Amino acid sequence: MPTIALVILGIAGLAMTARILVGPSVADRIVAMDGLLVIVVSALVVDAARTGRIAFIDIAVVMGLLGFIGTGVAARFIERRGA
Amino acid sequence: MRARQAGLVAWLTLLWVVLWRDVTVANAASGLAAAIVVTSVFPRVGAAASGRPLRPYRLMTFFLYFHWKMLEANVVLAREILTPRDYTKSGILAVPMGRASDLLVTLVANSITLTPGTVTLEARGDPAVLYVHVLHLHDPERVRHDIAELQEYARRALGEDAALKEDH
Amino acid sequence: MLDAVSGAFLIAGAVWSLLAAVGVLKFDDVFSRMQAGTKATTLGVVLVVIGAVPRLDPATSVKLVLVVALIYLTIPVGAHLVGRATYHERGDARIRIDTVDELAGDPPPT
Repeated sequence: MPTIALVILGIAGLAMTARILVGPSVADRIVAMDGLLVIVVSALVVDAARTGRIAFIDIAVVMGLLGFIGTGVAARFIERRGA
Repeated sequence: MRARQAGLVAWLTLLWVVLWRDVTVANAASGLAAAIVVTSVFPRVGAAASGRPLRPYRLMTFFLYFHWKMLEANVVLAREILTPRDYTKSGILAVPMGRASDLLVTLVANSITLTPGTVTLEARGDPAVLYVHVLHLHDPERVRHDIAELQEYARRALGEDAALKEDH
Repeated sequence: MLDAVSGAFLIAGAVWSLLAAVGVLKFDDVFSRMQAGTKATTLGVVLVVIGAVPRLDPATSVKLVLVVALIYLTIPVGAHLVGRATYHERGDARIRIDTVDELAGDPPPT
């Protein structure tokens, strides 16, 4: 069952990536990237549950903590150069 | 000052030890050191987070209310995503918050983003007003009422001293 | 039995994340996409964590709760920053406001 969840998350990740590619604005791409980050965190958790390899959860913690810094930087970028 | 922050330092040390998954003297010592360093480098955070009387009942109430609203928000969102018809009627609403402290404004603004049909766009300081993008703005007064309700639960969870803006 | 229930939560979380992605693709306005991208993916993580907790040891479960707490704190802040910046510097962003815009100074709706 975790494998099914991982496949579904993979599809979700691809769909989010589509928005990153299509845009049309920087803001759209950042919103999709932020969503992708959370999806990756979910995938890491599912994989840890599937394999018992819990080292990935440490990565998930760091991603949760630092991921939004990229979003913040992008927001500053938008303030200066427009979306 | 040190006494007020002792609780925070203890909590951080405990968290550190749990994260290392191994209760040893080395872990406890390094955790204590890390906690002290962090609270020293960020004294304002240390002061804000310590010395407050905990209100477990009120915190739990807010916690439950928040999660209930989060579920509700996601169900409404799911309907919007899955049905071909467009139910959205978006708008940006100004929600005054009265004499709310920075902590309360932050808590409510953050919570709004995860609860029904709304994302906080702007938070103006004095007097505190939140500008909220609403996905289904069919009844503005209802939205303002819901946010006021959220604010009330948050205010009670934080306690009077942490929730009201101090007069300078 | 617990295995089935926790597995159901894992799949539910994955499906909800897929829902989020569909929303981000389907909506035609930046702020709506933001709503889908933040709320739904967050619930996705919560469901997945609920599914993972029974399958892992207690110390790891603390880390999982920490992950959720960090997501609760960071995702809304990110959305706020991007939303605020995009509102003021629109650029190519597709923004659609059906009713009032009180941030722009519209009078409050009656």
